[in-house]
Amino acid sequence: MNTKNVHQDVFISILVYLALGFLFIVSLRIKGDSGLFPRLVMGGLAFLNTILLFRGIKKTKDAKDNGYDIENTITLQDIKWPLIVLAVTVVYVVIFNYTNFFVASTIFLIGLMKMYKMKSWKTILLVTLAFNVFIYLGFVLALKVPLI
Amino acid sequence: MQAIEILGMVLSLDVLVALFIGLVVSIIMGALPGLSATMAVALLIPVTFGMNPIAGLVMLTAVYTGAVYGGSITAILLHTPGTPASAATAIDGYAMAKKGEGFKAIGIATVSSVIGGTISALALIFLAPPLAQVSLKFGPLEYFFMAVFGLTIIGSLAGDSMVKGLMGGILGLFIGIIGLDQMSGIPRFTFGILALESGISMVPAMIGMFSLSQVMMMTEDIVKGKTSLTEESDTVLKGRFLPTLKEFKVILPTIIKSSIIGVFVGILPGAGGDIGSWVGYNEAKRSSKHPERFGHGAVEGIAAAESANNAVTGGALIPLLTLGIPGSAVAAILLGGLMIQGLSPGYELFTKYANITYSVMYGFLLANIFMGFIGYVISKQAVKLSKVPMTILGPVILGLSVVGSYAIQNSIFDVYVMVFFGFLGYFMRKAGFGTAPTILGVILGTMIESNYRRALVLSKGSMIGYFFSRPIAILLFGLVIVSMFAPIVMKKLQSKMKADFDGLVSDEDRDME
Repeated sequence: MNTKNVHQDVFISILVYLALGFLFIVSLRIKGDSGLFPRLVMGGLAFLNTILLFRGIKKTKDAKDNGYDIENTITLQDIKWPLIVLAVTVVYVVIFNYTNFFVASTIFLIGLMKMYKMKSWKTILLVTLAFNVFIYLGFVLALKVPLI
Repeated sequence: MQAIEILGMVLSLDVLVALFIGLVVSIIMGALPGLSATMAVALLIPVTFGMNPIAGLVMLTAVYTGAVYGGSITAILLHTPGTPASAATAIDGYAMAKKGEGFKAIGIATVSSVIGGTISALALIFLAPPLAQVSLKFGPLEYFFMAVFGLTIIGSLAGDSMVKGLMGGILGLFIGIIGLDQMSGIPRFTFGILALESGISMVPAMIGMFSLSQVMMMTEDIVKGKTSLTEESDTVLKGRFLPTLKEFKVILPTIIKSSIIGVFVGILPGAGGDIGSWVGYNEAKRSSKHPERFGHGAVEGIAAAESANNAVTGGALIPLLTLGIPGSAVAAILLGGLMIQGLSPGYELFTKYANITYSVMYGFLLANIFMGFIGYVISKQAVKLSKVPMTILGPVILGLSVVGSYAIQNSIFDVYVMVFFGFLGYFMRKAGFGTAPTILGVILGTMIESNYRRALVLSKGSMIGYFFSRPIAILLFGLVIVSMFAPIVMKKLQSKMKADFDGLVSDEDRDME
């Protein structure tokens, strides 16, 4: 079966089932009444997920029967760059943890703006400087947040 | 004496500065398409954490009303509503802008928003205290049904698919479970991580879901070559800002009627500014002597939509402050802002913390009035800001998201929580789940579970008998059932109105051809 012609809701449903299965096993270890509500919530989610799965299968079948391609909104091409931005953000937080906010922000802002293909170094440096000054005045001086 | 004390607190320098900053930031953010009122409030909650409760909460309520108003600026000048609540404004606003009367249209929107917001603030001041007294009669079972009632707003937050909306809401309930069980102290789904025992920090989660996910969506556009949020050419800002006395007399009845509609819509769980503005617009058109002018630059059209959507803000705060039930996604986030100040909605807000609550309500009133002056000054600049490249906006929003998440508890773990929820929020939005139902679920989940379990204990094994012995619980159960079907009716009403206007615009296009 060509997975490109399967509606994304089918894959999402399978992922949700897998996650629910894992969480259900974890919930069995919760003692007493504390585990009841989580299992009730998971039951509700499983019920709705089943509807989602059937709808996904129906959409897939309709597309196959009528001979048109399914246009899924989640494609590797679309999500590649957003995921890179997310990874860069994680690196930003790690650098922040091991240095300080301003060092991390300077590297992050310059890096991300260059990654977004901004050409003007003047704008990049000005935005970075303005951001750092704003955070220093607002968060460090006024709100006493220990960012350094 | 008390009134003077409250006035003194509202007019103190820190409150006025917070109000001013809140309005400026929110009007600009509201004017930027894609940056919603929800995101504005989520990003500013961390800033309010270190402030005194009155200044912080006044700032957040000012952000709410300011962002809704700000959405009208780009709706009028660029035909791109800054927020969904301004979609109806775009119809007549943009038609006026095309005639070269953009500045006048913004003036009408400003006056209408100020009056609508002010009427809603007065409704809040006069209706909330007596309603809060009702909450005294509430026990765990009533609170359980109230929380379930709040969850029914998912119907209107769900977007295209009710199933996906409900799944998002239930996911929120599950996220709310993570941490120590409030009643037994047993850890649930913490996986041995100590920082998770106090539960998922709500504000970082909200920042991630609304801000980081938005930047990830923006990145897709940047890669595709889109540079700014709006690409329409500037329309010329001509015309006088304030309406003439004659014009004002024409629009005043519309404004008052739409404001009342807006307050009522705001009180209803599930009906936000977007529905309020469409209902107000439709009613203004229906009762107008010249309905044919609507859609072609009718000042009443702008007045109706803008007064109604700003009136919704005060209306939505009424159930939030009195019963803890957020009437919209923004109200749900405002509840988070209230909680981090150590305040819980209900009767105590109007007795023990009356000085704070009344000051916030009067501050909200003041914010709606000041919004007019600030709107006048910055509306031209705000529209220019919508041209700021996304390549600058994205990194700056991410930087603010990181510092905002960290500042709540000075915890790097919270920043990772923000990143995780950004990742989750991005995929939820891509898959059509929407993030607002999840946030609502997180907030109401704890309330539902703890009150249900308390009610079970109080029922002494006979829940049905206990239920039938409590008239308010029966009434609330009925309301839950009614409100489950209300969004379907509202949605049909809204699509019917939109279809009517689309038909109107197409007819006009044909005439012009």
